Amino acid sequence: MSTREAQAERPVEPQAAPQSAPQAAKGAMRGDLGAVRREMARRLALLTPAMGIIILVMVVPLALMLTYSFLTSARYGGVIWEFSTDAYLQFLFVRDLDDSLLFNDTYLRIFARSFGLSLATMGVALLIGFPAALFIALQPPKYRTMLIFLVTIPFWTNLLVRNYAWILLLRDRGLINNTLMDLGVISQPLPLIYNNFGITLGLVYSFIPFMVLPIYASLEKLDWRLVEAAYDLGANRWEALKRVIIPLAKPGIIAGSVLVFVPSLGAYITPQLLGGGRNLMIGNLIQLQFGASQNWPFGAALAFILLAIVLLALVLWALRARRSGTSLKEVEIG
Amino acid sequence: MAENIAIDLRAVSKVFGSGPDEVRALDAVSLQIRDGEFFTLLGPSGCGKTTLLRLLAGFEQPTQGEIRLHGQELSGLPPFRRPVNTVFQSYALFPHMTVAQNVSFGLEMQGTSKAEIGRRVDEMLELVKLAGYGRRKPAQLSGGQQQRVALARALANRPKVLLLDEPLSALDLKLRKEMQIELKRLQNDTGITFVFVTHDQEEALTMSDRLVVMDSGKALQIGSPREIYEHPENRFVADFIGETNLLVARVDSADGESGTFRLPSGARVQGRSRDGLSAGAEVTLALRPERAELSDDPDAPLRGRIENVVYFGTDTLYQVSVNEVGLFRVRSQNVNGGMAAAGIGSTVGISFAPDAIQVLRD
Repeated sequence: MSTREAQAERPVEPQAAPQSAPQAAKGAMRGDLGAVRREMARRLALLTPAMGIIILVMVVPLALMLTYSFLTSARYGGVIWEFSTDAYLQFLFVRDLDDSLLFNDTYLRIFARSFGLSLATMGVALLIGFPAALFIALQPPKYRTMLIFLVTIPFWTNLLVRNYAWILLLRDRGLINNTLMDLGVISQPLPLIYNNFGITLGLVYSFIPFMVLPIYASLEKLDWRLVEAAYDLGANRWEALKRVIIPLAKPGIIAGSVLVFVPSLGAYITPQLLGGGRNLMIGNLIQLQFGASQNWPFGAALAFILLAIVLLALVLWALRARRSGTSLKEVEIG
Repeated sequence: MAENIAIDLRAVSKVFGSGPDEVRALDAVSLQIRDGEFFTLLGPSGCGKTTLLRLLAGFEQPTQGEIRLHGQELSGLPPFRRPVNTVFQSYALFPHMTVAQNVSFGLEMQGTSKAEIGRRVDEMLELVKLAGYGRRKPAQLSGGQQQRVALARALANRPKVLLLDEPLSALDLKLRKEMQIELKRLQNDTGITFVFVTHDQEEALTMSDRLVVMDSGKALQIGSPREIYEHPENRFVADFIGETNLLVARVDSADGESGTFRLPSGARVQGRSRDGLSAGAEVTLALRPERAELSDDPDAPLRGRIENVVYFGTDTLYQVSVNEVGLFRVRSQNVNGGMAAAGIGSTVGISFAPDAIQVLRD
């Protein structure tokens, strides 16, 4: 997320490191190993509460889920403590009558749809969020705080309530369709809800603050004299945006995109309410396994497959960013 | 004559804010900058010099008045349509681009061909003595090198006028001296009109062909460094540029050229006069410390007691307390190996040539 910052700071690091290293070595050589050990113990003690909380609320539940995903499903929910990879096989295959595995792409399609809708959500949120963040960053400081505050207001109300509000607006006899029909603009209600459009709209609405806030944060730090320099050198507004503002806001754009994409992928309430349950997304599928389908191991396995895909994508992306970063550095030195 | 004028400002005013918050950053400034000259805007911070530069660059629009560049009215023209480039105080180099990309930015915006861009970037880096640095990022360069990149970037578009906003203020003294010489060389080599903003009077005197001294949004005096230093027109200019002794006097008699003035001590001195002086009027006279000298003459116009002697190497400064005038400074060249002409506590006379006295407008 902050590769650019890391690059900018890099030239400083080599200077700082050699100074501190000999000092540490000198301290150790003086023979007060006891003091070093006490210091280590003190640091460990200070880390313990935070580590404890992370282990308790993150590692333990995840381990529990991972265990469940390798167990056998009980008929009426819950699990039988018997090792099985069925849950993972079920993601891609169905068991035929003769117990052979047949390829089944139902769940893959749901995953693909989820990724598609999440990408669309991210794209739309970026198209709306970037200009919004830019607009806020260009206001006088006293208005900026106010506008950022307005961006966060939807968070004050429950997500469920807000999604119901969208139903009232979007349904066939909702505010939008009624108004348009009363005005004679359309004769049939527009299909605004219980489809991919409704889901994307709802997701964009739900997560757009996550796009606006990080982009605003990077634009707010931006040195606007650089934009003046671009104008001065003959760049019009569009060129200045393309060549200077967007590249410098990239850390915020990437952070915002990840923050919108990842929760969209796991979204549950919005696809349920605005998709009408007809267009399943991963979140709904997982919920279904713990609910109506009563197949806990499969639900846990789905959650882990999702986690693995997201992690893999982020790691690949980070590796690529680092590789381009280092190759750039090699070029500069060479 | 007219085709010699690069920039022509006519009664330009700039007002920021409104009502009680109103700030008049520029107040009816009129001045002309000649084509190809090194022109300096000099003044203390807040005097309006940077505002004036921003008006020329197009970042601000004048509230009143006209700005013409080679006869063309500039008002309303956005910065990217002006044949003017700026070297910013903070350099404002694009941190995400290499040195070469920074320098080529303006050329790309003009739609110059790729081959031509490559040639011009090399030429510009050569000009600022940074050949071979093209692939570095600005963060990998020293302050002086960044300064040179900023110059190369601004000169790459071959602007009609180069605006420089206190470009040397962030450099240490030695580097600043080097860059001063470098800037003069660049200006000579390129023949481009330089408009240079500084608050450093020494920098302004040594570098400029002509300069304007500004204060509180007004252009107080325009002229060559010599004119400004030797003949300051008012108290602010006399005080801001170099050291000066101010004497309150009454006009005895005066014509347009010279006059006689009576000091509070009763002594009469001769000096350069100006128009519109009537006998009996109170005026302020300015006298540079190096134009005065200590003398044994009992008829010297001023007498006082030496309070302090400061040795400066090339010269020595005497602080002489003179009745009804206060502390009066005399600088004398150390032509005799720096031996003080008189010690602290001794009483001396101070004399000066008639053309050393300048009558100020308040």
